[in-house]
Amino acid sequence: MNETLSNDKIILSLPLNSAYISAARLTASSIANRLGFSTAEIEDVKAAVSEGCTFIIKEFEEYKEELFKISFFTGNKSLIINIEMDKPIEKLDEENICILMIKALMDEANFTTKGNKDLTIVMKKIRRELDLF
Amino acid sequence: MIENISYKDNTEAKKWEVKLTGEIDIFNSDDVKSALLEMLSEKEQNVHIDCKELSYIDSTGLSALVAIFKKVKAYSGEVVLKNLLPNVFKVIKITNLDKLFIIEGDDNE
Repeated sequence: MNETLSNDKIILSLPLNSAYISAARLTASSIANRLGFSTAEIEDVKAAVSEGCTFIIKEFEEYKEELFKISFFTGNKSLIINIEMDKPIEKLDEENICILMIKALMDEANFTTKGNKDLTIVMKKIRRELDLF
Repeated sequence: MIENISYKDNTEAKKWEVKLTGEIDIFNSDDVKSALLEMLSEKEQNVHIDCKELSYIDSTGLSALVAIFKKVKAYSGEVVLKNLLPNVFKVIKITNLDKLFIIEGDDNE
């Protein structure tokens, strides 16, 4: 892995429109690839980011004009991704399929509501494969 | 018909041969579901879905497949998913849908 890539922050701001979820997947996939994740790990990250976006888009359907934010934090052997929506959520359904899938695909996943206002999905993937080069 | 799905009636084998391609997510999963339901309204028979060129499917796409499964199950038919790529198989497995569908391997094996 290129060590100069650790401790970087990449932010993507997207409209609440399902047409742009593929852009989030592509970005996630590209960053995970640059960090040296394996193909299987990249697919996990890509799918988890996509499910996070799907959850936000479905949950905040009424705020069509608003943007939500995806932040990627690169680490030495890990990638942390925050997906944030600056709007209130009534109740977080922990049994929602998107949430269950994120938990299954990532090494860590947390869903927080800040003072009953913002929803933040925090997920982490740890790179396990050995460096090939 | 949308670009992510094509199907033909295999009258000899009495089954629908469906091909899913590309990425299926919240953006197009409703269209995929509608196309499959329209297909089933033409003829009630088994459904074999070739996923060789399906590079990605999300939870909404899986929900569409479950809706088709319920419809087919209602007339005692079966839904077979064939040639799944590893990442697609993984999401099917973690959602326990491998217990619902019949999963078949590579056609060329």
